[in-house]
Amino acid sequence: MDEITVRKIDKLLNLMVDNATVVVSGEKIARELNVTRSQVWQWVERLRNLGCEIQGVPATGYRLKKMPDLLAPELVRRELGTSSFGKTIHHFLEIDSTNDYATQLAISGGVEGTVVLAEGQKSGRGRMGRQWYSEPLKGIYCSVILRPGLPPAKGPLLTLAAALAVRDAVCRMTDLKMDIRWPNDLMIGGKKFCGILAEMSAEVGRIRFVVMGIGVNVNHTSFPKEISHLATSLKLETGKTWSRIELTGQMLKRLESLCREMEKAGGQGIINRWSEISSFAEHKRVEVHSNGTSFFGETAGLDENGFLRVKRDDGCLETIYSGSIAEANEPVKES
Amino acid sequence: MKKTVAKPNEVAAMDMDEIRRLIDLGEKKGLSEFEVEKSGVRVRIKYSRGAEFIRVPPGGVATNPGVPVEGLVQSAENSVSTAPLPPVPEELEDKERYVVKSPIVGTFYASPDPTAPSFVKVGDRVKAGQVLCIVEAMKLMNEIESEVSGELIKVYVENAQPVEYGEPLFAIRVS
Repeated sequence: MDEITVRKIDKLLNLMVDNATVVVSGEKIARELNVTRSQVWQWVERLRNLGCEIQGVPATGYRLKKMPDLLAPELVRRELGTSSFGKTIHHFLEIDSTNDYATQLAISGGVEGTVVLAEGQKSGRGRMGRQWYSEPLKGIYCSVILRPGLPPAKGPLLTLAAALAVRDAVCRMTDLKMDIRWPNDLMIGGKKFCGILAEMSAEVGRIRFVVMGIGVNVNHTSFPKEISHLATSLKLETGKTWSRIELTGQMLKRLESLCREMEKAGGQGIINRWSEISSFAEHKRVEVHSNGTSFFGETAGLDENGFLRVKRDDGCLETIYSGSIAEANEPVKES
Repeated sequence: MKKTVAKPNEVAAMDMDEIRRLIDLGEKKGLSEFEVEKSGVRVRIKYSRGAEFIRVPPGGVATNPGVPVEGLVQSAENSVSTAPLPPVPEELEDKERYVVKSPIVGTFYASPDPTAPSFVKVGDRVKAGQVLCIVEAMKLMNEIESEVSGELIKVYVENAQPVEYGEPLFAIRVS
């Protein structure tokens, strides 16, 4: 499906939501979308396949009777109240990558708080070209444009703030016990349910923008074999289906307030909160994979940039900028 | 690394800007060493190529990453003079040679993912706005773009190596 089609189907959905419970004529829809009536009919079918209950009224038009938990901009905005994040939401049924689209928006001047949401991603990305499994309609695939008044050196800390925002949002809705694995993976019972991937455009001394990509596994009931031992979802952990709309709204609100806090008071508050919550902050035996090497050690807190300090078994203290950290499975050697 | 030898109390006689121009000239011409005398002041400049890091002496002289100067070390017979030299201003980066520096501390990646070819290599023509590399910290990927067009003449850092704030990443001959 090309992008224009995706956008038009989205417009159709929004048209139906705006006129929910009343009949919208097929002719009006066709005119607004600048397509034929038979095209409208095909797209209505598609929305039905996504779970929308749309009644066809003979010779007149269509009536939306029931909406599934689609991240339609209007519905998400209702959750947001007076927040400035999410004032502009670009919503896609399917997209290559929300981060790529948000980056393009940011380059062409997209304002802070602009949000890109997709029901599914064809090539959701993780670190270093890895895939982010983006099952349609099950997760939140979200990218937010940030333009913080912070020096570029503080940019990476925003990824900790994003992890905290999602964690706080999930806390408000569930009573799940969560952990944060450095730097920004949200975990339940040792399995990951939320990942962050940010892109920054900066020059020396100034951040132009940060695109904060957030993927949350919400209502997944299973994962592909290759990742099923690593991944989980809120539904798998609680047995319940959760409102992605509510969760999206909560996390955007929280992200906005954490960003404001960082601009006002610096990053130490974020580091402190992260350290309180994460079992990885201190005295955790970990295996570090960074820059093509790996080693074992014990975590020794975050520095003022949010970088993780790890005391290697040979006594050296390392500061980790990037890479992955795993809880070491091997038992601690007795001395 | 370079050394400039001069009579310390007469450095002022030969304008600092002039010395900088000489350093750049020699660098551009690829000289390994040269000596100039003017109004009784003699300056010898020696280059050692392939140096990757710039060390700023304590109490330091602001170095210009484009020209890896190890400070302008004064040494002379009566070399007690440790008077701080005037800081080398940014403009030392001459107009034709542009050095791309890292805006954050992080890990340098030459390609978008481990299996992909490098964004750029020495000898490439690069355009302003073109992505040269990624510097990553904590899953924040910072795509470093060229702000100028020209020929890429140096890559200072190897793939997957840590870089410091302000550390030179690339040199581009502006055209």
